[in-house]
Amino acid sequence: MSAFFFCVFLGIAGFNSPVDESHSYSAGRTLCAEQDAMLLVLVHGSDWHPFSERLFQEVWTQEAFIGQLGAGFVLSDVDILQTTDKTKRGPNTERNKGWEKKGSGLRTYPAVLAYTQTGTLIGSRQGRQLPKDLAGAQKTLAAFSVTCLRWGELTNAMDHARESGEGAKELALLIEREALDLDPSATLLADIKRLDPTDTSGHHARLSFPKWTTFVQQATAEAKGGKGAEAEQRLKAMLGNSAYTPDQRAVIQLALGSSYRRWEGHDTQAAACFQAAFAEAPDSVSGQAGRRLYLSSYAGPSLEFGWTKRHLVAKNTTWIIEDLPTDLEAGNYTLRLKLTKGKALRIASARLMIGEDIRVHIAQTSTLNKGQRECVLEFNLPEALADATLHLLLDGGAAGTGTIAWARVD
Amino acid sequence: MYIATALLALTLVAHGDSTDLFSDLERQVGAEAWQVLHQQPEAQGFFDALRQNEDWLREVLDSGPLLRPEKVLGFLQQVWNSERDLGTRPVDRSMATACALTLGFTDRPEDAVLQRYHYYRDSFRAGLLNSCYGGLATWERRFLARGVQWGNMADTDSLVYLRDRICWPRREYVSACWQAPYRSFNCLDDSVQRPTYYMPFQGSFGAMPEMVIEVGGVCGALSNLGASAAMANGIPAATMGEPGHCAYTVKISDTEWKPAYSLSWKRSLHTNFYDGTWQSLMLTEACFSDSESVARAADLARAAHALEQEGKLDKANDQWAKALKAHGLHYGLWMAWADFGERTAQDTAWWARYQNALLDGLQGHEGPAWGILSKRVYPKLFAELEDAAKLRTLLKWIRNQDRWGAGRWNVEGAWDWAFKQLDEKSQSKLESTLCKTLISSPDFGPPLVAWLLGKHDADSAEGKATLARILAASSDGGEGGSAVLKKLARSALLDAAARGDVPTFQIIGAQTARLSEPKDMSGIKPFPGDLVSAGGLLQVSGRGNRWDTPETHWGILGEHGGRCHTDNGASFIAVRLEHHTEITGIVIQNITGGQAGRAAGSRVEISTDGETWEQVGVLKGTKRFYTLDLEAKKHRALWVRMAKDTNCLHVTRFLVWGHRRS
Repeated sequence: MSAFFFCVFLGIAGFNSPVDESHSYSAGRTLCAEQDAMLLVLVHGSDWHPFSERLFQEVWTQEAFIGQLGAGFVLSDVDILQTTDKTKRGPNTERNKGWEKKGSGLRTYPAVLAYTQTGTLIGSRQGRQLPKDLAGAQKTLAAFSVTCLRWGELTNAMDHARESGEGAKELALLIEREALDLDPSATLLADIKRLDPTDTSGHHARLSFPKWTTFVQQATAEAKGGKGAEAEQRLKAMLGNSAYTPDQRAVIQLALGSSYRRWEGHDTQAAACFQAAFAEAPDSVSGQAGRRLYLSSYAGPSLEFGWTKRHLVAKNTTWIIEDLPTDLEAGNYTLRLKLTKGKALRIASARLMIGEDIRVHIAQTSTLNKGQRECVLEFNLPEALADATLHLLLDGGAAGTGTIAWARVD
Repeated sequence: MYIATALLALTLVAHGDSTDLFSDLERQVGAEAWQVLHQQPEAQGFFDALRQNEDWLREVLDSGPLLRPEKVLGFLQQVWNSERDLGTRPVDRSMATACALTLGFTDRPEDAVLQRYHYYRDSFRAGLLNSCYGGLATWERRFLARGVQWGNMADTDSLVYLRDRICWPRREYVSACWQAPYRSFNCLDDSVQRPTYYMPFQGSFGAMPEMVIEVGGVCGALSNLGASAAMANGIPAATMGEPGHCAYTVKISDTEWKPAYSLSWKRSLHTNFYDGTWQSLMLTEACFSDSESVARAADLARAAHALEQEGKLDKANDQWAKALKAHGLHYGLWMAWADFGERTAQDTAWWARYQNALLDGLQGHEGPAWGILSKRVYPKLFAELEDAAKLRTLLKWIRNQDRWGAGRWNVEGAWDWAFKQLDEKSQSKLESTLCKTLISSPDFGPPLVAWLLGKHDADSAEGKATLARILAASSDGGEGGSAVLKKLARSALLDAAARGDVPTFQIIGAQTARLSEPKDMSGIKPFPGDLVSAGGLLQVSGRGNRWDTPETHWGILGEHGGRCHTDNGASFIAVRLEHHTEITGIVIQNITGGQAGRAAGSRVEISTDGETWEQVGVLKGTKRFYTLDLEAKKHRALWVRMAKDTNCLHVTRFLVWGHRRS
């Protein structure tokens, strides 16, 4: 039944006959060595994945695509079958000899993997890096081949620079090659160390930066294990190094904040580091994590987390809400407060401020309690505001929880 | 195309089946809701298309339980309104129907279900799903339509992410869970048991699975990830709960469901038609994979309903009997027949006949059969029976048992339930019959022994009496308590080990260990983590060989110490760990004496499923202790074994340490 639908699918697709045979992996490897070419391998599943099969039939083996790649490549394919029927698998197993999935760089199907003449993985296009329409995939693969060729040119140039003793040039070429959207070279860090032993360029620091989860976990564990001061010293030293990218600096700030969080008596420093993580790279995972940790654990009530029992509600307390939209256009807005737990909350007034400057002031007393769980404050902004904060002056209440929502009315 | 469709429609109408099916659908919807549905815009066109399409009607009616049919039809009508050719596109029609049936089954928002249908429709059209998807029956598609337990792991963004990120041959999805790292605490040291585990990272990733792969998770997240990855690629799967654990299952071929990341047979599937047990899934598979029998039995059941509506109860009852004779594996129809029995207030003789028919029809599916007996049949029968008659009824059930059939099920729970229905005298008779009937069964014997041993303290009078009873049932009598335990080890313990039944192995093993003195632990330095071998089980090749002493197997896995011996020739000694484990180290304590050299050269291998093995070391030379430090390797396994192709093997201890990953 499955096979029937699969055939129908391919039939509807109406592909042309291939003009050139794609080589087996082992034949491809041999040809690469003979021709001093790179090997491109399409890993597909002819009996189970229709799109990968169309990619093979309608792109991989078509003259137009092969022409796009130009010289310098040998094309091969590895067809991984789903069937467990040994008779059906036999010819494929034979054809795939020499191919080892482990260490190949294959993560998902279909995948196109590029190797050097000696079998070192250069890079790949698979998963989200390989569009799931044939035209898009073809375009991406053509661009990938250009990137691989550039990798080859830079490698040759590096070899020449090394032979002529031009260390600085070799380093520059190495860094340019690393910036290509390909896999990192296995000898990258050793090469940088050789070319720039004191890391004056900062490349080693930047390119040896660990995965963010590992980095943060290590710093957190250090503090938890009673070595907060050591972690602080190490991470502050890293922040003093200008080599790191904004994203990496955000990771360092997050790690530092996390170690302070697990180090008794360092809440103020933790809050500052989490804010700093956001400031370093607002759109990064670490920046956003810093922002959310700051708002949820250290800041006043917020639009994102509302208010909780840790927020003071005594008379004359001011709640400062820091996560209003950065840019507010002129117009009408509402602030809706909803009491979800607790007995009461009384609000004396509300202000929109920029720094110390009061831009809008509402002297409206509102009381939330079990009978009246919600209140709405209305704001009219005569002009646009940027980076405003919202200040709520309380007239007392009881510890509790609630939500806060800000919305444009018109 | 249009001519072909018209001809098909004419053929179906002439056949007449679709009219009966349509009438039954109307009956199930009910007059009022039927009228409301017909008042919707374009309703006539939709109902005409449905009435003329027998295949579609059968997909709606005969693909498992049809709940809230008005909601199901409302959804299909909505899809049909925007896709008028739906009825002629079998794959999309079947998927839309599966989604509609799911909507009747759960309170999931209609928009979310519609989006899921669109996901499968568009992904199939683009050739991005596993080719098996095209051939799935509607009942199989219901697993895809339902999705995994965690809704945010199966929204459209998640499905697209998983479809592209984990697109593999079908059988490989049993290991898809390991795409995410197992972390009880996130990098910020927040426990997975608290909402703060994912909170800082929410919104930073395109989809939930991506966050889980980056941040980590424990068994719940990993199982939802693995199952959803399979489903995103059009492969039926389901998450399932196990005691203290979450696992999943994938349909790895057209006929086989394989448990993944599973530790126990006590599984509760989050997607199920009747009840959540594994045996119920096996029965569902056996039932619905025979679509012709399903249709035949369902047609007879429809006729029974029609006869009942006409007041012809005897004929209706005959028709039910025929339906279940036509396809005895149809659990839903057994339940419907029981409903009929209750509706029409049938007497105990009827329920006794029902029991006989059920035991015959569900032969090989004892777990689900017990479910119906205990919930529907016995309450009716026992209300009017004396204890002796109750016992006779239960004995009929017990004597019907032979093998697990579709897999291990909670027979101990059934025995407990049965005991509670009887007075003390009858309980004793039941226990005695259980022993005589089941003690030598390779399937039921081990759990029966474990269950009996668990009922009483071994040193109490009741415990000794139980042992004597086991002895009398399992041998020719005349032996003492030690002999009984030895005998148990040589039968029940090895049976439990062979079936991977860890709790039973542990219960019987702990009893048999009383036969030997604990051995000295000096010289053994533990590795970090837990001693995960201690709660597992041991398998030794060459069962029953004359040198082996199974009564000392349990001790090999822990501090107690023991001894085992394989048969001659190619041999292995395998440990199934208590948990999936990141192994930190292994210590194998060799035997002493002249044969100690046999261990030299053995391969040390690990496996996540007990089928595919990876070598991680070799035992070099002849030593008292072989120590493998694997902490840096971060190998993950559920099984560890030593194997050698040339001679027999024997050890005193086989100890494995590591960090639990389940």
